[in-house]
Amino acid sequence: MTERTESRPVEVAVDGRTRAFDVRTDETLLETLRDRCGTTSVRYCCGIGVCGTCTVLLDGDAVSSCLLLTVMAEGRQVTTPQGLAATSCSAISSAQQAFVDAGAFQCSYCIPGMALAAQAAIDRDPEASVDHLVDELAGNLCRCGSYPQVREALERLVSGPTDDTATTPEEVHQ
Amino acid sequence: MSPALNPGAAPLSRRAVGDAVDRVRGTFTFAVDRRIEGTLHAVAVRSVAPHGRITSIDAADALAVPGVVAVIDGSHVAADDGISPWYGENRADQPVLAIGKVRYVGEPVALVIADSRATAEAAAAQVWVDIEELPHVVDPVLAGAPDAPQLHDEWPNNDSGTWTLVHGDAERAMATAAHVHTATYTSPAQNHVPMEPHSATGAWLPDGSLEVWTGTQSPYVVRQRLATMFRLDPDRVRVRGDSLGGAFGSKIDLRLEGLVALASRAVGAPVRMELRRDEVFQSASKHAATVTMTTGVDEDGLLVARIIDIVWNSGAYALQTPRSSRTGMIRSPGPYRIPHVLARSVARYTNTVPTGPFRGAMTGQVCWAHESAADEIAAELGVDPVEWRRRNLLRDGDAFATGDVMHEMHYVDLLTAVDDALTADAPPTSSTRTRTRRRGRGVAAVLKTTRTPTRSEAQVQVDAEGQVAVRTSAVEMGQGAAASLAEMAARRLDMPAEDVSVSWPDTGWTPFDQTTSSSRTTFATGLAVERAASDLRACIAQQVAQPWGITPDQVVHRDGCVSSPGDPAQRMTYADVVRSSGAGELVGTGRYETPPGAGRLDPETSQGNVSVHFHQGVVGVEVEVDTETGRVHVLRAHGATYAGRLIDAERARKQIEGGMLFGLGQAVMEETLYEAGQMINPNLSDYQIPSLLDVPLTSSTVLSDADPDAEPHGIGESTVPPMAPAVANAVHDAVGVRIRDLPVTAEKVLRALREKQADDRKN
Amino acid sequence: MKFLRPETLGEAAALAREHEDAKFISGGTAVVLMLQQRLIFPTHLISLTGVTDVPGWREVRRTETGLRIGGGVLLSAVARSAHVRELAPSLASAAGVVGNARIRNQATTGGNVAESDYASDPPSVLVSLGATVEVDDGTAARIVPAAEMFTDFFTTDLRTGEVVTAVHVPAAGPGSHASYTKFCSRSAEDRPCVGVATAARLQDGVLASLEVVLGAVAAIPQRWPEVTRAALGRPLDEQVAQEVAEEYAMLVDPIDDHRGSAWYRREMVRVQVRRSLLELAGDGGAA
Repeated sequence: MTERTESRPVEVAVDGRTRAFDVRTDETLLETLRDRCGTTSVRYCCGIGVCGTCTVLLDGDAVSSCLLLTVMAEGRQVTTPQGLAATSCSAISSAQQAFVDAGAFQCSYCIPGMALAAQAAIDRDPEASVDHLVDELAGNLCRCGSYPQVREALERLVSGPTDDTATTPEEVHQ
Repeated sequence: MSPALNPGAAPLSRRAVGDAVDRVRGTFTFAVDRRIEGTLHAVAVRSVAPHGRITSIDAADALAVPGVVAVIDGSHVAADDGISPWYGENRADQPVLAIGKVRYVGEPVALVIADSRATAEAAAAQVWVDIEELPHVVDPVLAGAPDAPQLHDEWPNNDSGTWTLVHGDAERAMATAAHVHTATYTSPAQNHVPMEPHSATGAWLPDGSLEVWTGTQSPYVVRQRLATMFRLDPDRVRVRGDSLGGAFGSKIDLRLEGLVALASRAVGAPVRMELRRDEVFQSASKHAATVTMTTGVDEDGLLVARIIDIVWNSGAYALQTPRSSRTGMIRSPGPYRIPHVLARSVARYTNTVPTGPFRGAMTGQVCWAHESAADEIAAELGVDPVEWRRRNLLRDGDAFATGDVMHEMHYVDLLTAVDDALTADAPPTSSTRTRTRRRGRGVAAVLKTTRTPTRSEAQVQVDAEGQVAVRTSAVEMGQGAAASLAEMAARRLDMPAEDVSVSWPDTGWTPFDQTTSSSRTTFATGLAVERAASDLRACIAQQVAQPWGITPDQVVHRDGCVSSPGDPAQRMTYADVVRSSGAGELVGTGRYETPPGAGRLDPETSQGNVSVHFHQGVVGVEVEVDTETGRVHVLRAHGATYAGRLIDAERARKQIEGGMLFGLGQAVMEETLYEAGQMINPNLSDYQIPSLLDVPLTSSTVLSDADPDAEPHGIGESTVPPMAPAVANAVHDAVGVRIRDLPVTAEKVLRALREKQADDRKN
Repeated sequence: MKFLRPETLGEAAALAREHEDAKFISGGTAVVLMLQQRLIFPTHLISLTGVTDVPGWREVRRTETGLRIGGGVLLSAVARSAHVRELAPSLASAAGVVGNARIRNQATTGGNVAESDYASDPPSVLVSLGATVEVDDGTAARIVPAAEMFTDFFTTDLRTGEVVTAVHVPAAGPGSHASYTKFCSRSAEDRPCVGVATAARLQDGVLASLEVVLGAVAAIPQRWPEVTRAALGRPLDEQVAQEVAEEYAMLVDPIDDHRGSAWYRREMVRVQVRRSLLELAGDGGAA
């Protein structure tokens, strides 16, 4: 195996824009997005489809871009977290706004994938319950422990926008 | 020679408050996003043997792969007079690339440098390394046996640090105790699992200086290590950091920086490395530990004496272990008033992944012991475990095991807050509650010292546009350091925090900071920033006071403006002040340093002033145990900590509750496993961390000091170590079995239940 | 490695026969994972996503006997399908707990069968429901019972060039009840320590048929028809559940790994089989 892996031309629509690449046949969509498109919102963590930091939408459904060869995305629509609201008039989507409002992040490495998955789930089923969204996001891991705020974001997403600010802990001054 | 990565560029600086949209959309960037045009890529060839002599390395096939530029190994390093390849905090026992010998599976043996990462990775699989295997050892207790395989010729008996603590006469006092309890508690190696993998890019500049971009928690430590390794003046090494997607201790000290510098030196071009997940597992580990604790109490259950023996597994190389194993030992008596303490600690090299600090460093292992023991002792005495702790917890004026006279002690209040939260609330309802599900509650407390001695420096400056910038070398890694530092500066300057930018670390521009770890940033770097901001405020006041005919302390600061109290016409923005000063910018400087002598301990007894203050945490949980499967569900968790002066309640909540969830994984599911010297689960399918479906309801209490001059205390670790013992104590409360070996897996609980049933039948 | 995208099944099969180290790829979750881990080194990947001549490739159809689920149907679509939920609810629940939401949006029914992953959830359910697998190499099709499809760890009865074109699931008749239980010993997101698929038909209050199939405990789905046969003619009650569970626990020869030792898996077989059957009883077994 002293030759390079074969390349192949491929056209993929990334965030609404058709992109043509000459990719290695074993190149993952994650690599293409990060190395060729400079996409920062799609991130490597586990490399085996377990953690969700590389989540993209493929024709509207959340998938792991680390388990998808770019050649397999030929002719498909890929949406990244940073491109999610690119076609709408607001800067961020309703799920993303819910995460912002709930302060649902610490280091935030995992968060764009989570918000994207939440958006896909609520778009598929606008009547989805919080429990359903939790099931849909259970495969998006967070190490900082932002889960309480993520749950809060999902509750906000289900109940629609409110003006409440995130709850703060009980404070006792001595 | 290679082009500069970004020569002369100012340090990165960003708004730290109000970055939520970028963080959620994913346009907030991390160290791993840092790409520099024209870099080559390096991939490490790693040892597949746990212990052995390298007999040959054949890179011919790899070099034949198109796109491969070079392959270097330990022999090249050893032959290079410009390199001092061995490093370590206390003893230089670790080679940047294996030289002659490998000591763990995953140790970098060679570096393949190519025009793309994929090419380097494919070629790395074709570097043929022959290793003559030597007997290996993974258990630190076995590593201490006389006939055990020896990892380092220079460090006999696999000893990577031996310490004692002597406070009073524990052995004599133990003989007088009314009741003595002894047990051994073990905790395994675990992985930090930062979501963002390690990455670094290194380049040698035309002037012979070295520049490294890296995802590190400790830029100045990295600078020092690189300077030593490449025989450079530290000023000739520039370490530039970025935000981290989690670190938890795994990104402290030298990680990839030596490798990328080495690779760049070999090929004369910038070289980048980024780890795969299995390599992250092979790069840093928590210390596994075995702690035997003997405790004597009097008739009233008051602690009389404690004797503690600790064996730490330091992995193949010492790194910080010779120091940190002592720190762990010092915390091992727990947050209790114990007149007589004897602790003996030994750390041992084994053929496993080198260890390092792990959120709540060296404390989870000992807290697991003293808090499990606390409940066991209380049970044997027939006393409620909360009440037993209340009687024995440290209060102001008590002496700690180091002889420190304690101050700002809030344990009893923290414990009460947790106990109230657990008992006052109605338990959450469960629709699936059956006769095979039992509930129980447990608490645990922890004491952690903060890094002492320590030093941080800061600058706060304002330019002619009125832009206020904080410059420190603190690292933003999700804990909210950047936002806290911005707020601390803004409050001193009476301006909105949203208008303050914070530098990202760059040793070429940002002042010294020891490290971002040990929950020290808000405290040590924060105090330096406040002092710098106060200095800048005074400097601004100075500029206007004389022209306005008032004294500097009469100048009113509000919303980024200064004014004269008596004369509404006398009002200037900070930008106006800078412009009228003609200085271009005004700069305040500040520093925090622990008092002289702080942290200096007696080498034999470890007596002295160990810490300028103490991190205090108490956690309580309610669990449900399935008695047929042993499965433990943590239903809710309440964490409490003392924050000193509180900077931001919301970020504090995230640290306290997030800390408990971090601790949850260690409590019930996390463990790196070795078979025949190989780590067998270096991936996130076989090594599990908690998911959204595993987490309990969380709540928290922050005790704080309203005095504006009070010192802030770090809170990022105080709820991590107590989580595991709180869970084990709750499991005992629920089903009457005691697990002394972490993690508290379903299988261990079921086995213990079966043994208990068998015992109950016998009796 | 070449990536090929044939348009017909015949072409796909011919390519597979032509290249010895070729591998079919459908959703890709398994194949890409193995590629990334350097566990396989195919010279050619033959994508099935461009194949247009397999009838109902991406459809769930009702047939005279039950359901035909095309090989290209995503697991998430199986889980959501009203037809599957109605006629094979245990398969819908198993498909709905494979991996995570993203895996289910990418992995296909045919790929799931062809992978023969010992810890995947659907295989044991397919066996329990008496499903059959339609395979085709472009020249000839054949039907393989699910119970004979899985032959070893990651090994199937598929011959070179054969593609799983569909899975046929008999419709649950009156009095039928089925369930799938995924028991995880660590995180809720873990692969199963033990999976239990059950299917029963009750007639006049007694068992007319019973299937209990274990997943994740051995190389392939495990069942002991002589044990379940012994329960026929009896009501599905605590005693039957207990007996079947005990027998299964005795007969199983479980694997041993970090999701559970052989001892623990055996114990969990006992607990989860009993619980599954009792749940089934509660679902109408007693009625």
